[in-house]
Amino acid sequence: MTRGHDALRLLARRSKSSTSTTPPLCLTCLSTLHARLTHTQASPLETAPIEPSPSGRAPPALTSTTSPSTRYLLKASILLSRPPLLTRPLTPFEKSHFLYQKRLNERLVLPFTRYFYYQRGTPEEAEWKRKMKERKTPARDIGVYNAYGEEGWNDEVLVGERIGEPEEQVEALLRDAEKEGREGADPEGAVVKREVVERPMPRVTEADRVGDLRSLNRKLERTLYLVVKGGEGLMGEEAGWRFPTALLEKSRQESLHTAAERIIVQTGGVNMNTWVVGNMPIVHNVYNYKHPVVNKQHGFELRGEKVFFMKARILAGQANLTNNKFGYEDFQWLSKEELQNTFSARDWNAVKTILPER
Amino acid sequence: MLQAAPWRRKSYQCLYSTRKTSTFNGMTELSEDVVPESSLQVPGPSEEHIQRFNPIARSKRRRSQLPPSRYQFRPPRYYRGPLHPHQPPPPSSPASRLFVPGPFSLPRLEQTYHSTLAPDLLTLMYTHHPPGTLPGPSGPRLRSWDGSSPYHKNRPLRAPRGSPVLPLLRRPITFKNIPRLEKIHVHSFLKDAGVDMQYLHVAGMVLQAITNARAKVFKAKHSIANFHLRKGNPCAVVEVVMPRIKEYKGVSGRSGDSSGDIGWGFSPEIVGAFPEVEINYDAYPPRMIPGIDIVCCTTATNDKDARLLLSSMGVPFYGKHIN
Amino acid sequence: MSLSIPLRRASPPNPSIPRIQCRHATLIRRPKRPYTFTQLVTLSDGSTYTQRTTSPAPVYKSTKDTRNTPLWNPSSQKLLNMESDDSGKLRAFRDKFGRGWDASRMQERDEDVDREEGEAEVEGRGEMEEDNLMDLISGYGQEAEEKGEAAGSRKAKERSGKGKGGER
Repeated sequence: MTRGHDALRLLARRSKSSTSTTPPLCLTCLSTLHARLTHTQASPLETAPIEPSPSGRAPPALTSTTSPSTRYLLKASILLSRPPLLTRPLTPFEKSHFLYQKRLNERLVLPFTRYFYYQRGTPEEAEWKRKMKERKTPARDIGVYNAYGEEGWNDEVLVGERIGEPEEQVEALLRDAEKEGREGADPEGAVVKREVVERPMPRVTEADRVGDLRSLNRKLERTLYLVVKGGEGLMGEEAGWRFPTALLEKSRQESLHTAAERIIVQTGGVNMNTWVVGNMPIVHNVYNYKHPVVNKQHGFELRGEKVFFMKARILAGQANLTNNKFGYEDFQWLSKEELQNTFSARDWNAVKTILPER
Repeated sequence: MLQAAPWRRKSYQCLYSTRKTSTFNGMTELSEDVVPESSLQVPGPSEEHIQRFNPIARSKRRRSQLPPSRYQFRPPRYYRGPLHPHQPPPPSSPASRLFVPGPFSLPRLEQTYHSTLAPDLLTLMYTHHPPGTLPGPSGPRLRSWDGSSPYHKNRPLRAPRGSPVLPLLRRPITFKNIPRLEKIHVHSFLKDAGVDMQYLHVAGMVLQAITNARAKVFKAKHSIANFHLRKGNPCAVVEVVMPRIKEYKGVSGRSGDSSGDIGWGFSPEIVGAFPEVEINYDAYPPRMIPGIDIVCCTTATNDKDARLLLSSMGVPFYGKHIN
Repeated sequence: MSLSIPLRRASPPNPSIPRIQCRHATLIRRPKRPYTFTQLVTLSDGSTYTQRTTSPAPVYKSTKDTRNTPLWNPSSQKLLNMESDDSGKLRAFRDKFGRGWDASRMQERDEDVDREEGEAEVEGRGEMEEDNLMDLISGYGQEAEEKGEAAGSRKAKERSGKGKGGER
């Protein structure tokens, strides 16, 4: 049996006894728990505690168990994410460590075999020799450093030097690629830039500076998640920012992943190239109504809603909420911290443990 | 009625709809024991100190120098056993002769793996078991003889059903054992090297250029093979080399050794298209650049998982996937 | 300490035990690693990354990689219509015979490109002239074929009067 069930039995047993050290369960819980446990001893918990169950743990039963008349509305919720496009920025410790290791490498590695790459007498060789005189080492990203000279011991990076910064290293590489040779064949002639190398695009984009939350070009080092606003919320509440959610259509005998694809298209339009990762949900949540809705006609009672989160990735395109079937008014692409600030506590609790660090 | 609880309010959590928000916010929070100050935040040296700092000048000003042995430490050249008084430093120390300088950057494949690929692979490889439906303990994988014949006594166990070989057990994939790439073997088989040693040297240079490590030579009875083992960095192969192959379909779907290792080969023309070889293509003797075999060893235990991992990293597969 | 001094033993010297001190010492070899540089790799779509490599070039600009190959971008319409003109023969053909023989898809795409780039030039007459010549040949019987009324105009094979192996 599940751990949750065992704990509850213990609590229920304790609550039955009249000692003063009973754990303070609220009256509703005590009564429902008591009722359920006296009704069926062996069945697992019907309504799971409202915590996300990560995919590794076996969750309690999701379908109604005890009485055939108990039902839940099944909903699929989409966690559509754009994965990070850039590597993460380095910490100061990492930068200094990598520079230190590169300088150690200079001293320990086999010397560069120049004549294997630059043949004697070629202009490339002359170019190489000139550059070597300037920076004293074949490597370009460790500054002016001669590992084998008498002053090779003096390799401490001075205060204010930006040698270890990745941007400076990339700039050094590009400057090296630009300087191509001297004017004419004169070794003392002026250095001519044969080819201006294009600088790489900056890591901070226009959307970052402006703060356009609808853009997918923002926060390229982080994962961005699609959230929508408007339409009908969970359990009929007022709709704040949340993930696109919709009922599984019984008429189509839908499974979760087909429902996920349908919801993505109906929410954001066909202009998105998306991929639903697998057929399994990554989180499930159970929400109970305060009072179950009894349907006497069909003989069942609707206790609440079960929401299954399906993971999807967006590869290209952009969401377009015009003509969306759920009445959503606005969408945003938010990172993990922004989600925490935007979501209600209950919604954030539902997903906080399954969002990756980056 | 609810009685006053002697324990803290925080530990009380009602299990049903009136749950209180927990204090854990999902992000790694530092505990109170961790001191917030960092040595990197301590105010640095004063301006005057910075101006005056000149180690070279300081060393030149010294009139008397200590003997070099006071500045240098030379680790022992021979290892003479654990009881010898002069012990070599551990290989992780920069003073050791065996020291290999550590990481020079955060490999982008590793970052992509941890941020994007591993969560997706976990989602894809997870098999759901509702509670109470976990398969019970299975029978022995190698059955024993039933004793119907007197000759069954002391016989070794029978072969597994359906195959002469016992395949690896596939443990359920959890967050702790997502398949990852462990090492990559780059291998080049040279049948002409027995005749002409130059092939061996050229192959060694090519392998060194591609993998940045020295090749080891293994001799078979009639021919010679060059091996090399390397960890990580298949990015360049996938991103730059594979797309340049004309009409490349991918790696065969039949590749794989049922233990999570997938291998494929590159012909000499493709090896010549590697950026590290192309830059000084003329330096190699003509037609001596060898073809290579690449074997990616992963922690997966079967072909399907290994193929899924490699295709998530960008290696295309074609044809029928045979496990 | 001199290594040639034999060790003194408490027991009387036994001629069967060797008296030469042996040295069990393993040479600690430094690993020999080739020189590596940091290189900036620029892919065809402009993304860049640094990597360690034995190649001394500071910047490696790749024209053909995963970003512009249809095998890695199966849902890209732009890459589907790409043709590879490695030896320049296609361009030579076009210079000689014009664009009339291109597949219609390619023509539309290139016409769009031309229109965007050189709107000022008077190319109206040129476009009119360069109709798809393939259509002239292949499109001739297509309508009839669709209707199912294509009549073959092949004559029956002429048989020679002589028998097998006979010359005509």
